Amino acid sequence: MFDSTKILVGLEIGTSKVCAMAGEYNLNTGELKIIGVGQAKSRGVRKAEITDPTLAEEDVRHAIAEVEQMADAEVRSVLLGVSGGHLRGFNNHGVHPVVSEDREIGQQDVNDVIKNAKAINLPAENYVVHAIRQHFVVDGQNSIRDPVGMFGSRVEVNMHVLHGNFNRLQNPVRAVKGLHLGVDGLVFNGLASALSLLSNEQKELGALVIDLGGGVTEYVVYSGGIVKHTGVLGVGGDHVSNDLAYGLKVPLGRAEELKVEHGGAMVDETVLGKTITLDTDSGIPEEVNLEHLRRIMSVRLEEIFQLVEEELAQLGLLAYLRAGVFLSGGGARIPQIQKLAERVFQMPATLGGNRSMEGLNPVLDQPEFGAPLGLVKYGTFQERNRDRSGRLSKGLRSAVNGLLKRSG
Amino acid sequence: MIASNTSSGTGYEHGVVTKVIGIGSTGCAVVDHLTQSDWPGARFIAMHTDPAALERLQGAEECHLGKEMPPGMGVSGDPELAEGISEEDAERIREICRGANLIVVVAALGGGVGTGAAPILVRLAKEVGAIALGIVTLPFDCEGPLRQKQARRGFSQLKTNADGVICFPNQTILAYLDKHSSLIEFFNAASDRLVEAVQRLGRILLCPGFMKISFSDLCAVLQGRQMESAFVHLEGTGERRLEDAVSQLVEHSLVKRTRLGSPETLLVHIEGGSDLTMAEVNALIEKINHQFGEAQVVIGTSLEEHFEGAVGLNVLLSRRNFISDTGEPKGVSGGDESNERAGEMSQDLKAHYENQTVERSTYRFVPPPPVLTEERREKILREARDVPWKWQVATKLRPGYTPFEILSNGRFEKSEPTIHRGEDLDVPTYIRRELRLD
Repeated sequence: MFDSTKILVGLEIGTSKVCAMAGEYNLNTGELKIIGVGQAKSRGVRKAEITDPTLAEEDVRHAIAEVEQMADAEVRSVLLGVSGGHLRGFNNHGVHPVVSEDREIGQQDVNDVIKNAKAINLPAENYVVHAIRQHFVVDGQNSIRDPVGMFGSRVEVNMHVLHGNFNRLQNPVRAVKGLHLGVDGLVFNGLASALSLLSNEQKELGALVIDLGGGVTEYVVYSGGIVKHTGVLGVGGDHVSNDLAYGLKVPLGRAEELKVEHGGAMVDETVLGKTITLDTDSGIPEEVNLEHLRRIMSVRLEEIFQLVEEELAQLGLLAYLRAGVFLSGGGARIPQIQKLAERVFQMPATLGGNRSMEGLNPVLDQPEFGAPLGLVKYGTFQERNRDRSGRLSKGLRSAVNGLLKRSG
Repeated sequence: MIASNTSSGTGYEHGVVTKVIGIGSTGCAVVDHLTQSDWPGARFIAMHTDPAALERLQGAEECHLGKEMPPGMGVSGDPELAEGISEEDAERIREICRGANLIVVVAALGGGVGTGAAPILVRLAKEVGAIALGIVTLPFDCEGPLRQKQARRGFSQLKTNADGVICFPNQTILAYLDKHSSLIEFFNAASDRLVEAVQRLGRILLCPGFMKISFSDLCAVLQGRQMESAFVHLEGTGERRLEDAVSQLVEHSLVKRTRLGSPETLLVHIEGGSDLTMAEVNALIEKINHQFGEAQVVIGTSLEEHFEGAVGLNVLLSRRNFISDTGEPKGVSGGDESNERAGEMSQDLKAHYENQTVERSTYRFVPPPPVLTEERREKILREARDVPWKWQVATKLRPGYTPFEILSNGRFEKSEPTIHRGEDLDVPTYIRRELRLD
C-alpha cells in the first residue's frame, strides 16, 4: 500500500521562536519517525499570543518552508499548539443512569456520560480546547478505566476541561489559515510537552511538567495515568530579560544576551561581588554586577515556581507527584534551574528530554523541542482514533448499503 | 537567662499600663522569665492552647485559649486552627487587653499558636484602644520550608495589624554563636534575645528621659514589609566611654557578619548619668553617622544616676527594605503626625500596593488644543484665502501636530498585564519583593 504513511506536522508559535516539527507516521505499524524541523525567530508574539499578525505569519512561513525543505515533503496541515494566560483548566463531572434492562454498561452509556460531562456552563466566548477523560465511577466504585461490559446502575465520569477565549485562540489559527494550511487540531502546548517528556510509568506515578517558555509558563500534572490539572502562568523568559533590563539598566537586547551568557537560577558563592565588563557602542566599557544579575533572575524564577507550587498545594496535588518535577522549554537551559526547582518543590527535578518516543535523533532531544515533539505525538493519537472511527463508519456504511441492497 | 544589668534605682514612667502577652510555647516561656524583671505597672500574661504548657509557668498570669478543645489536643502546628480558636475566644482576649495603653505581644513565628493567634491578638488589642507592638522571631532555616512559609504569612498578617513589629530572624544568631554549639544553646539564645528585647524596649519607651524616644519614633524605625531587626546592648566606662561603646558596636559580630551591618534605620538610646556631656553625644552621633552613612538614625537619651561615670547604649538596627515611591523620608522625627501615620501605616501600605498593581501608568502626553480666538480664526481664514491654490492644498494636508513615539513601557506594553491575586507579575519580582541591590 502506498498511502500507509502520513506526514504529521506540529507547529508551535512561541514567544521566542516559531517551531515546526514534521514526523512520518506509519499507519500500519504505528511507527513515528521525526523527519524534519524548521525554526524561525518569533517577532509578532508576546506572552504566547499573537500581537502582530503580519510578522507572526511571516515567521510561520519561514518555519514551514524550512521544515518542508528538510523533510522533503509538502506540509498541508498542522497540529497547532496554543497557549496563553487566558487558558484555564478545571475538573468537571458527568453522571448517567444505565437504562438497559440487564444493567450492563455499553459503549452508548459511556458516550452519553462523556457528553454529559462535556456540557459545561461556560460563557459564550469561551472555547473548550481539551476535554480529557479521567476515571469512571460505577455505582461509587472509583478509578475505573473502561466501564464497558461492567454492571451497574449509574456511571459517572470525571473530565479535565481546558478552555480559553475563543477569539484569542482564533489568532494563531488565522495566521496558519492565511498560509493556506489546514489545522488538524488545537493542542495545549503544556500538554504536548508532557506527552513528549513523560513515559507511561511516570504518568502513572504522578509527575509535574513545567514548560518554561519565552512568554508563558505552562504546567500539567499527571497522576494515576491521567491529567489532573493544567494551567498557564503568564510569566516566562521574557520577564527575566525585562527584569534584568530594569535592574541592571541595560537595553533589552543586551539583557537577553546577559541572561543567556551569564544567567543562572541560583546565587552561588562564586558570583558574590563579581562584575562583568561589557563593550558598548560608545566605546566606554560598562560594568555589570554579576551578583545582581543572578539575584534578579533567581527571585523571578523562584517566584514562578512558587506560584505553581502554591496552586498545586491548594489543590492538594503535591503529594501525588511521586516521579517529581520535569522541566522543559527554553527555561530548562538555565544553569542550576533544576536545583532551584528541587528547593521550591522539595522533590526531585529532572530536565527535559524525550522519554516517550523511540529512535529520536539526539540533536532533536532538546528541552525547547518538548512541545513540538509532543504535538506530533498528539497527532499520532488523533490519527489512530480517526483510523478506528473511520473503520467503524466504513463498516456502518457497508451495513447500510447492504440493507438498501436487500430491500431493493 | 535574664540580663542582670537592668538594675533598679530609677522608676519607669507611671500611668502607662503595659501588658506583655506571650503567646505560644516560646512566648509563654519568655513572659515567664520576664516576670522576674522589674517593670512596675506591667502585667505579664501567658497565652496558650495547651494547658500543660501553662502549668509549667511560675510567675505569669495564665490564659488558656480554646477551653472547649478536647484535653491533650494541641493545634499541632496549624496556624489556621489557632486563628479559629482565638477568634472563638475573642471576647476573653479583649477583656484581658482592656485597660492597657501598650500591649506587647511576644511570639515565635513558624509554629501553630504563635503564628496563628498573634495577629488576632494584636487586632483585638487595637480594638480596645491599646497600642500594639509585636516582638517576634522567625524560625531557623533548618526548621524546614513549611515553618518558614507559615512564619512569613504570620509575619505579614501581624505587620498589617500591629502598630509596629520587631522581628528577629533566628538565622542571624549564627553570626555570633559557634556553629558547633548545642541545639539547646541556639534555641536558648533565640528566646534570650526576645527576653532582652522586651526589657530594653521597656527601658527605652518608658524610662523618663531627656530627648525621649516616643512610640511613634519607634514605629517610624520599624516600617517596612520585610523588616528584620537586632538589638545590641553595649556599655562603656571611663574617660572615653561613649567612643568605647561605639567601637564595640562597630566590632559587634552582628554588625560585621550579617546583613544588618548596613542597616537602614538605627535607634540609639543612650543611658547615662548626669555627667553626660553634649560634646560626648555629639561625637557619638558623628561617629554613628560616619559608620552607618545611609541609615536613618533616631537618637534618645535617658539620665539615670547609677550610670555616673559609665554609659549604656541600646541600639536597635533594622533593615526595612522599603522603597518609597514619593521619595519622602518616612517619619524621621516624632510628633503627632508620625504617630498618626504609624497607626495608619499598615492600611496605607496595603492601599499603596493594591493601587500600584492594578493600574498601569501611561506615558503618552497629550498637549491641550491651541486656543482659537476670533481674531486668530479670521487671520487663518484670510491667509488661507490669499495663498495660491497649490499651497492651499498643502496647508490643508499638514497635520495638526507631529505624532511622536514615546519610550515604551517595557516589553509587555502591548500585551495584557499578568495579574495574579492582585499583583502585576510584569513588574520585576525584585521590585515587588523589595530586594535591595546595593
